[in-house]
Amino acid sequence: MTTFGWLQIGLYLLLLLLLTKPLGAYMARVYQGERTFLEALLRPMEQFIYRASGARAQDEMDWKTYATAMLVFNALGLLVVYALQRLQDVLPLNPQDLSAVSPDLAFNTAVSFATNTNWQGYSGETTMSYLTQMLGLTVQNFVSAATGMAVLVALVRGLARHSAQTVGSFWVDLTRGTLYILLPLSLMLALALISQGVVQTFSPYQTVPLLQPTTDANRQTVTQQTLALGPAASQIAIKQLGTNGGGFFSTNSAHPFENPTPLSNLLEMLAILLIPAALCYTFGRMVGDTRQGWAVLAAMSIVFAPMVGLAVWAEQSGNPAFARLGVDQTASDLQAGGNMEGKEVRFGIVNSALWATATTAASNGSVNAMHDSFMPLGGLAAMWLMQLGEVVYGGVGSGLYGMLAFVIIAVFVAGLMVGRTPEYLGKKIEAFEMKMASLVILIPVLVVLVGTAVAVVTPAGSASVFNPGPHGLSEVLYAFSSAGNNNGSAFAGLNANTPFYNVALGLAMLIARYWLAIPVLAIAGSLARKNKAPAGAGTLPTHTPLFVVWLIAVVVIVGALAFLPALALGPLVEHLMLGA
Amino acid sequence: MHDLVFVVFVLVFFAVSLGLIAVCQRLMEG
Repeated sequence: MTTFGWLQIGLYLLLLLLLTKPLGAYMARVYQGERTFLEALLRPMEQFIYRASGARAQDEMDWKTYATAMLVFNALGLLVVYALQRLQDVLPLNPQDLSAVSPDLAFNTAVSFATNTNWQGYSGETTMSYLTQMLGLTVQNFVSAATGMAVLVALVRGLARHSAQTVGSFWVDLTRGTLYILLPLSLMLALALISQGVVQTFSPYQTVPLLQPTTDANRQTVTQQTLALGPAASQIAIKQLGTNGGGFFSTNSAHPFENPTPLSNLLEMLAILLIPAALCYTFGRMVGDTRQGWAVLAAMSIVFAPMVGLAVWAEQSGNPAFARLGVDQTASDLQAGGNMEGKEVRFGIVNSALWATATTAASNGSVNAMHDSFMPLGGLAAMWLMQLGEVVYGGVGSGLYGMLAFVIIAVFVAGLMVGRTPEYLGKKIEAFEMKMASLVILIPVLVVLVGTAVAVVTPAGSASVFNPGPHGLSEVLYAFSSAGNNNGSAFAGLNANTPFYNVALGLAMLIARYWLAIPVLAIAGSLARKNKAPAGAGTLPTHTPLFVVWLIAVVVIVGALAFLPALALGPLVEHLMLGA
Repeated sequence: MHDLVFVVFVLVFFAVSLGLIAVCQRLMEG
């Protein structure tokens, strides 16, 4: 790897770290109901939303009411997106006269965007009208992200409060998260992206003459092409900030109208990890000990860094099959070197591998290179980060609440090992919290492995696999790892727009989102009721480097044990075959 | 017809999810 490549990774991580504290502190103020500098501008709008919706902002909810409100809101949103897709042919803002989306694809897409997954079994520019993109998909980008953050904040309140019956108001958390955090950040990012050339228009697609005429598959001369346009920048901004990931165009952030320049690439990559990283500081502030937040962030970063290294090394090393043919794959002033298949020349190896690692670490799922074309070990890095449960930064809110489930397991096991009372932040960790944390960790594992197994043994599942052998298995495993952890990125090469995959992956996304959020809220409710015990000689400190190492060990061991056999049959054996 | 199937599917899933809340509450109460 070149020095310039290392500098780019270093600059990215430095900027991320610098932004973590100010944004994290701001979000803590938002969720604690404190005044922020946007109060004068947004408070009237917030009050209007409460009045219009009939929500009583001062009424807090117990965990059951909070979870019920979350489910009802998400179910309604999902059905609205489904209806918009099915009726888009008769609704306005459809200048290309796109037809209604098929029922199974509409179901899959509605689930995908409501669950913050943004798995896309379609090409945006040839399937979705402007209205569907804006009113359906972009709105869900905001509210699904705000939902994840709301669930996290309820859990943090459960840890912070004592002898309490309530964990906050879902409506208030949803509204404040959207209004004070997601909207302002999205507006700033959208304007920055527009300045770089990302399109934002209601104009119909434009037909332009080609600079150099060419011939098509039927040997007909082609002199012009159609450029897909649309209100892309507003969706791109929230798709990155909300760890949604669904592209406006089919090739996602590899498309020059979604990601035109190196600066737009850096901004979008920063946006992917910004809120998940900053929420760690928010957590520390809300529980009154920022060291706890830094410890969790350190654990995430220590798992993330070697995965970046593995992906960059694998891609920069190039393809051994090409090396045997004598192809020069070394980086030089004239070429990026390495494995450039499926990558944008504008971004090169480092920015493609770094993006792939960030987007899979963060349950974002947007891509600026085709993951299917990565070397087996590069693809493995992306896949394994998802399989860890999307807890290395993870989705906005969902990443940290997943990691806190691992913290509960780590505290409990450490307590058993050294004979100390399992407690976290003064709260006793008992059988109920362990059961719920186990559900949070095991449900995605079950969804991914069972889904993959069903897909590869049934004709409906295996018929969609274009590549035979280990790479074909990797494609199916990647698809279920992505859906079963609400990531949304895909290995291409798998025809996922079939009734089987649309329904199976849709169900995987639903389970992975809501059947994890419910146990998390149950933990919140249980912890909120408990008294806080002052730290004593028998208390396990959870902000020390020792605990960070222990937490990483728990995360990695669970991830390795659950998925190593499947990875051995997919990317690992493919890597060995390439080198043979 | 297909629309009805998917809408019912979604509603059933969320109804089961509401049931999961009740199960968790019962577990919490021991």
